[in-house]
Amino acid sequence: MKELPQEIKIEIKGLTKYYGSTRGIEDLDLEVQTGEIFGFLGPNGAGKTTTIRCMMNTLLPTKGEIKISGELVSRGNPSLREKIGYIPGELALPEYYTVNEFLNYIEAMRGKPATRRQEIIDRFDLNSNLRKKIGALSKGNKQKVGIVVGFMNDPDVLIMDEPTAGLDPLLQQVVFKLLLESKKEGKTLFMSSHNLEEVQKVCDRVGIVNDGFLISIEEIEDLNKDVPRILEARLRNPDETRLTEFGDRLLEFRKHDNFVRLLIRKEDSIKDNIGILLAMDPEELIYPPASLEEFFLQFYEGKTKVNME
Amino acid sequence: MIVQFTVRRYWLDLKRHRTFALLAAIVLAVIVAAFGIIYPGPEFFGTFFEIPVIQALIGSIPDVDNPGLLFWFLLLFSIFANIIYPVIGIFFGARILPWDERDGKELIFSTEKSPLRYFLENLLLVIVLIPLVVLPAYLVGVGSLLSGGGGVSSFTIAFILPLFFAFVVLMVTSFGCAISSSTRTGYALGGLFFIVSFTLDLLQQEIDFVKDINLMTQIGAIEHALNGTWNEEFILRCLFLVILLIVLTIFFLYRIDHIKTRSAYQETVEEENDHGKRKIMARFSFIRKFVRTPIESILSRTGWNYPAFRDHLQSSAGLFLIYLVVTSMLLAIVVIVYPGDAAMEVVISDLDIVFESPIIAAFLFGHSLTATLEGFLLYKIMAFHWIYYGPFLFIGTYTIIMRDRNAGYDEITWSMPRTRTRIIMERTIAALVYLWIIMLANFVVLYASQIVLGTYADVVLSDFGATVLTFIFLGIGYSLFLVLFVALASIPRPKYLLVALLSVFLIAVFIPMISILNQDLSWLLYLTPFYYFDVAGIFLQDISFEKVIPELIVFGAVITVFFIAVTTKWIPTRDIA
Repeated sequence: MKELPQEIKIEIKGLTKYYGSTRGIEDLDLEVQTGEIFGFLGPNGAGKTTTIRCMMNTLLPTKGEIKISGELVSRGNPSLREKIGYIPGELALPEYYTVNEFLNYIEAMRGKPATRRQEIIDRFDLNSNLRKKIGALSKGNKQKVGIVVGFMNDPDVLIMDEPTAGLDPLLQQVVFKLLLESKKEGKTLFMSSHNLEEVQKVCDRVGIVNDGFLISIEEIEDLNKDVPRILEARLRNPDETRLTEFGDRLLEFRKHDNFVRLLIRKEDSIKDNIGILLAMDPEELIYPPASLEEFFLQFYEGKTKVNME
Repeated sequence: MIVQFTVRRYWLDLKRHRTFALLAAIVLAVIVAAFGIIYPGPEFFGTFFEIPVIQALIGSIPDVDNPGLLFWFLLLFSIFANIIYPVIGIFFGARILPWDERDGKELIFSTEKSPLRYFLENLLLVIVLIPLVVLPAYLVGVGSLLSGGGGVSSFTIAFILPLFFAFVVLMVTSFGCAISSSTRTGYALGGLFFIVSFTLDLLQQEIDFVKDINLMTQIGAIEHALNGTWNEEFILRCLFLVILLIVLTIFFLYRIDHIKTRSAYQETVEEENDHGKRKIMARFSFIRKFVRTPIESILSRTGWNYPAFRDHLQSSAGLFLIYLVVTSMLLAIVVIVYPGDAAMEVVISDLDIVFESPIIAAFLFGHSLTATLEGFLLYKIMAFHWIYYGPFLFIGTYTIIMRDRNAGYDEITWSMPRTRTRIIMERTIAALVYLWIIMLANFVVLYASQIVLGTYADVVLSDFGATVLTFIFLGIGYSLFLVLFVALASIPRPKYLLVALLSVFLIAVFIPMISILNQDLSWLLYLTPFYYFDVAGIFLQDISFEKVIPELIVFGAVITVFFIAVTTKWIPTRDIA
């Protein structure tokens, strides 16, 4: 187990939020350390956005409390929000503003100069769009504006609800780099996602939620061990009898004509696994990451709440 | 089959807006029922409508308490009943073709239904819906007008003739949507058509050509109802226009993109447009140089940092402009057609004619009094400028207060390092400033019209001065009241906005009306702000300003304290996401 830094930056105790009789999130306990990137992973409707909105005080918890930097967020303290950068999940921006006007508006709302504004604009190559109306931007460019808004005041804590949504893989890499740099600078980052690969790339720890309950909190190394591997191959000589060589390592097997898809335990050697398939003369062989759904189905199916120990 | 789909769509729509529908149904039922209970009988209206206008205005009618206020309430209702047709026409017209992307047209047009069928279903739906929506308002407004001398057939005539006008406005709006793939163009075209029609109506006395082409003039619904005649020519013109617009809408429906694409090409075009806009703005750079920059500089030196106020107020610049253009247009017509003092003697004599006419004549919408243009115009300005004011009041307030929620970035606003109270306060003050600037424009237009009338202005000054001041004071109280309610209600949930608007309507219009009409219910007036600051009394009962102003200050202070208490204690404990 990796030793965590001492200072707790975000502390959530017994957070419960119900919308009438519908559960948003229930009895969530969570701590995020200073200088950590914490991933909040779960499928759609798991309670990620509810949690984040409670953290931003736009939703008020039915029960429980949230502290950021030791201050209760439910007090609606503006000085606390000065330290927080936020990227909402369902990002909507005013279409009638130009990008520049909107950033000016945000800067004025924050009441102090945005020290990293130009730097983040440069990183995301937004300079050519600054004078355009936000309504004329593509979805990806709007997301870039959202990211600039989140980062431009150089906040100590960043709360992000699926920050890479709508961005192409290249820009996702730019975001990942920015997140990792922020972490190095000692910032605390809390991001929700339903993309397992993304979380694996940048997060230190991951909280996994499903159906309104926190299922587990894992170190990223532990999570990586749990995530199964997938092997997909188009075989010239699909001899199914050879698949028995996988033994109980093989979690799932699908076949269509000469195309096979195997779900294999992570702890096994890649070399051994590929070796078996190479013997069947593959035309092509790919090794894609497992999706969140596959991960959930394999390890958390039917679980709603687990012993945190 | 089309009917079946339309009914189903109507049902789904109703289910989606069931809270709204239920509330609206309750309110309308209460209004109609209450009006039925307090209805003073046809004899009352028969007598009342024969009283000269001027007597009603100064409140010197024997045996009737506060007749001036009653006059204004009835006037408001009769105007409301007429105005609701085009407004509903514009609203529903924009729904026939939901070009707006938020309405999910991409999904709708990807179904197996053809766009034509979709269009026809929606058209049929709104044709059924419009009469249902406006009937209750018309029952109260026009129904009471006609009760003095009309009957069911008269009411039917008065009800149906403006409906045709509404259908024309509806189709103009829908046509606007069709030619641009944008709901906004539909609203603009429908609104423009209505405003132009209404303005042309003012010229009807002088220019025969205008009279011939102007549909608004042709309505004359109440006049026809009183005479028991149908305006067949008007109906035929409307039918022709509606059919023509349907054909044109279908034509464009198949010839334009259903979705506005945000392609690189368009971005280039927009950039060019921006460049053009910047060139135009450069010509007005002196405004920035001499007005905006110094003000901003002073404000920044004093630590002024209220973007929610500034930006929200700026968002209504277009509305300010339209309002000023519309009100100035009224003035311009007077100036252009009759400049100077030459016709003033005629004006005064015409004013006498207007004021000495029975009230029923004043209610006739688009009627033909024997007055010449100026007298008629003054009367119109005085009596009908509320037509413009009302929608601007609501739209402006709503636009300012709901700005970020409507645009969807409210989640970002609330994440800023500002208290909820401060954000709400800034927006509310912006809305109030907006309303008061509009009121100032009213004041200027009304007084300027007297200046235009030249040396004879003194003759009418006392009446108009009192009217204007009454409007202003009522406006301040009413708008303060309205804005604060709307501001409070809209923060947690936009749905509450409806409740707020209905509350304002009940307290500011409906309760005073029934408490005046029925003496047994006069205690209800205690529930309204007007009991506590009787500004109408200045005009109606010779109450002095010295008495009213402290009342107004106390009233303002009480609701401001209430507002602050709610924004600091209640709002912070609400979900707003």
